[in-house]
Amino acid sequence: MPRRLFAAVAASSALLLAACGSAPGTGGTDAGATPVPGGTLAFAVNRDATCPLDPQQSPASLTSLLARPVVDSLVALGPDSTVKPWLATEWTVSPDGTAYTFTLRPDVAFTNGEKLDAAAVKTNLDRIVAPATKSQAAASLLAAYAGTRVIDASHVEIDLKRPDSTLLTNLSTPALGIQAPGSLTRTPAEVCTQIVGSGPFTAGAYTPAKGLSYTKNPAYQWGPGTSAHTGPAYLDGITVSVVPEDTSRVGALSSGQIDVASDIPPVNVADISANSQLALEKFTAPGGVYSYFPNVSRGPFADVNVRKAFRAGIDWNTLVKQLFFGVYDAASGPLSPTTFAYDKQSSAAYAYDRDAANRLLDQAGWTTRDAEGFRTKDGTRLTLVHPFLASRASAANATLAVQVQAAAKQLGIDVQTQNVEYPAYLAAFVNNQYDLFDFSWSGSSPSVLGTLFGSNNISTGGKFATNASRLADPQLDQALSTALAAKDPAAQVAAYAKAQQAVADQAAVFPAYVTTVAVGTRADVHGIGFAPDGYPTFYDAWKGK
Amino acid sequence: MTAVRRLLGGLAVVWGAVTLTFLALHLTPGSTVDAIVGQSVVTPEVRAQIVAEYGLDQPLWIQYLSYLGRLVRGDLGHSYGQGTQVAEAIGEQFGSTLLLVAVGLGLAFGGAVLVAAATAHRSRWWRGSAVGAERVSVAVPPFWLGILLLVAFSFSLRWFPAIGSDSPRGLVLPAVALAVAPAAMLSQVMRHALEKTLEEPFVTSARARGLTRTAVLARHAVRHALLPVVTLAGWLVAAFIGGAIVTETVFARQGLGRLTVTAIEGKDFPLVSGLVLVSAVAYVVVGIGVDALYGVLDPRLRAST
Amino acid sequence: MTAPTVPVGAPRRPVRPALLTGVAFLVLLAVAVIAPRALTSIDPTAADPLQILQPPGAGHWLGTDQNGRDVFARIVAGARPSVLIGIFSSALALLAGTVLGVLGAKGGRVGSAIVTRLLDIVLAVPGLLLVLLAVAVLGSGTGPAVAGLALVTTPGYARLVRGEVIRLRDAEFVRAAHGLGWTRTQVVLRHVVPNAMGPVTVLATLGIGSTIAAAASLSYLGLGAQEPAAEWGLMLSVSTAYFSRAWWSAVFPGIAITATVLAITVVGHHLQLRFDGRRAS
Repeated sequence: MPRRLFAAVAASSALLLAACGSAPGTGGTDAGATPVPGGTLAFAVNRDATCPLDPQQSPASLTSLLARPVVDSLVALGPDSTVKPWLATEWTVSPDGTAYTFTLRPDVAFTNGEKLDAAAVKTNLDRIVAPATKSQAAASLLAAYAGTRVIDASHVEIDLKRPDSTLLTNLSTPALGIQAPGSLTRTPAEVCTQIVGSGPFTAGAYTPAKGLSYTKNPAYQWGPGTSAHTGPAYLDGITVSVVPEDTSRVGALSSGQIDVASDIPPVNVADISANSQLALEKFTAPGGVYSYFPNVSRGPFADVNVRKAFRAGIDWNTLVKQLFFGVYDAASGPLSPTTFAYDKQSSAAYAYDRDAANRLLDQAGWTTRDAEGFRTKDGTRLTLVHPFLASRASAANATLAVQVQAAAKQLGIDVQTQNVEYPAYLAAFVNNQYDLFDFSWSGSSPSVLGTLFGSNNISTGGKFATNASRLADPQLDQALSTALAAKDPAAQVAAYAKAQQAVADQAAVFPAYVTTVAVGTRADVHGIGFAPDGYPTFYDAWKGK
Repeated sequence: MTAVRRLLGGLAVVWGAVTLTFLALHLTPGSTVDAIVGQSVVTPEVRAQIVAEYGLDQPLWIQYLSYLGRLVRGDLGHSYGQGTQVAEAIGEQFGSTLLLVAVGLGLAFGGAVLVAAATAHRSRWWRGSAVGAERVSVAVPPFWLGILLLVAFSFSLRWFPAIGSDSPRGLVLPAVALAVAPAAMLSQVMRHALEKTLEEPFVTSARARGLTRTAVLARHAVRHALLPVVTLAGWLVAAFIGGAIVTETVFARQGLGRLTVTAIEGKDFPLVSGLVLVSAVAYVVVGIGVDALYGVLDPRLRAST
Repeated sequence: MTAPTVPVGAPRRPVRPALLTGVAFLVLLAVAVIAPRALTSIDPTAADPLQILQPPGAGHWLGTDQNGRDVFARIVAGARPSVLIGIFSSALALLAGTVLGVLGAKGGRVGSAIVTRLLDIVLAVPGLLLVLLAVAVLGSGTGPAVAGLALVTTPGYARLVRGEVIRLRDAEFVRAAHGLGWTRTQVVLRHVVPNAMGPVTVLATLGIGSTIAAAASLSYLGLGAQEPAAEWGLMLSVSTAYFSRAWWSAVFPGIAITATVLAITVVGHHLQLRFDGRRAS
């Protein structure tokens, strides 16, 4: 389940969103070729968002994608997690780590004519944390925020309540991007469909189910330090259309009706790669992988042996290879291998061993079988409830759910996939009425481990939180807080490795595949980049003639 | 006099549809506010506002009267799923569906007239294969036909664009998918009427005067054959609006059909009600229009009124 | 969805091969509904990751789908939900239509007016939209689908029954029954209704066909059956995404729906003709 599904409730919870830094132009596959300016790029996405343009309000990754061409950030995050200048040319951090002072570029203008200054930064950050904004994700990136101090027009100090080493990464996201202060006096609903920033493009108004169009900002001279070029964007404009049907989106791309299509389903990847008129851009997103989570707080999965049996007894590797046509990599741990501090050692725990699984189930006391071949204990069948949102699942994820159910049946486990509608789906999650839940949670830092497994992130009292396995493991919590406090990267790696080992020991996740973003383009489209959390960026993009 | 009665009858039908949606809203399990909000998440203030606006704290009959009152003023309510007024959401998509339905109707009529005229009273083999083709066309599920057309003519042959656009080329496949079943139904009815007409004495005398079959068909028979078709107009409207729901989904087109599916999926009750009302009004308007057309087509009817 | 009954010009000789094929297909369909195991021993829900999207061949006559499930077995298994939805909703509509029709004909001026208006209202809302409204109120699933489809098809039956009852009002045997001192209700129940049922049954037969197609549309829109169930509309809906790799899983279920509706139409029309002929003589 993608993150956007939780968008609706995220507002009501202090959601610890993993740092999802982003900057244009981290891809750039076409070194060598000389960019040609001009042309309009037709881009099709696969869905709508409720608040499509304002990432200060909406947590949807689509909103980040759509806001990025318009909104610049103080800093940019490179593919190797290094922080580069953008609107801020340099910055210093106080010794205690609670005050960040930025020097702003003097020449930046918003497209409505306003100038970028320290007050503009303050207006934005204060708006994000203001309760009236009802920020569903951005505010949680500023959880430690105490306030912003305007030193002078080009110097600004962000004060924190406590040290937060993820601040710079967070500041690089569109969620904490700087919008034109004058445009923020409108109602939140208005900002949702039209935003003003200082970015390489200006956006028209967004029409639901239809999309929007962007026009180049010719005055743009302040590209991020991570991009391949400086100055205005190459493209004259971008049109974004919403085409939810996979076949239509792919069909429109292959017939040349559009230049770029998002979310290419795995089944179509081979065709696109084989087509000389098309190209496929793949990006392996860091952060949490697409996983099934056992609910350790109730039912059969309260027994760690049953969890281990479920993990070992299903051949996740083969499932992923077959169902996703070799396009996605099977995961071997809660984190994507491209994440900083990914721990290779603990991945051994995720190997397939059907005999071991059956032994574990026998050990757990599920020894007898009923008429349908399902395991029983004291007359009760080994049943697991799996709420599934079929209406919003991708075709590939829907096949995975079918296969998991079938594979579990082979082990004698009755997985009851319940196709429910969104409110019931969410209610089941929040009210602890499930045994199995599936989704992915990307982000560019290993702190997603805390988002997914920290005991402070368990939904309680009807409040939504992201720990689907409901694991509360003191050792894990300890490792996570050590990692957050550590300044030295090596110490962070060691602490995160401990955390990943704890997750493996507890069998608190059944990792399926590494979230992979596949974008199809016409062969004459170049320079599409990917933000660290996996959506395409267009600043460096150009169309060949 | 008849016009007034017809109008009153039409109003009664619309009123009935309004009542139906009102009942449906209140029959929906769970609280009425939840049904109105659907899957959107709103603040307690907005909920309180909904309670006040719909008078949900009032007795049911007062709620009903105020519901009628709002509709009379043209207020279809607010769609929380779309974040806009229902009337606005429907208005935005109306044109696209109207265009699709109009082109589909044109295709269906044109195709049916041609097929019926070409096969009426012709050889058994020729006529029989037309009947067979018509039965298959009626039996094919329109969404499947749409998929096949899309795969064949858009994805493979690339003759038509793959994603919805209101350009003439983008309209062809959806209109065909929408028109095939009604066209087949129409041509069966038309052929039946044509064959009866061709047996009339005036046709025999016209042929005796040396008119060709085509001339007879064009000058006399087709007009007569259209009469029974006109009476099917109500069914056609329903078939096309229902067909548009599926067709727009298959072809990823903008329109009321797509909006309907979104509204149902999102449990967006105000929007669903608005769509039901719009189609009921369309049905009534078409009914009145058809009655008028009937008078024009049939001189006997005109003389008697 | 209430397709108008089309007057088919009585062919000089009924086309036997079509009728026979239709009857044969319906027999096959009945077997699939009652005893699917007689047609295939393969489990329609047996997912196999190593067998996905296999083309039609010896092991799998009609190939396999995106989950490695046998398409033929799924089509056979899919007959039951489709046909049962068709039969149940038609039966429900038939019942409601008969009651309303008799009420419309025998209920006096007020009753007749109310029934006529009620039917007009239902007819004023496009069938599929009405079914969707039922789904919106009752939630998606088989029950709401049956209820919605029944609601949509009821007016057709009601009108026909009403017409038949009015026609029979003047029939000799009915007058004779009145002469014998029977009450109105007795006459209606014992004589009028049974005699009116003939043409209504024919309509119901044809109705089953269009309801099956409508139920498939519903599943296609994601508002009917859900995975891993074997249901024709659902099969088409999920396999469309794999068309470029596996045309078979998106083609054969469509043929199954078309053939079923077609067979029912052919047989239904034949019944209609025979019935009309008998009545005319």
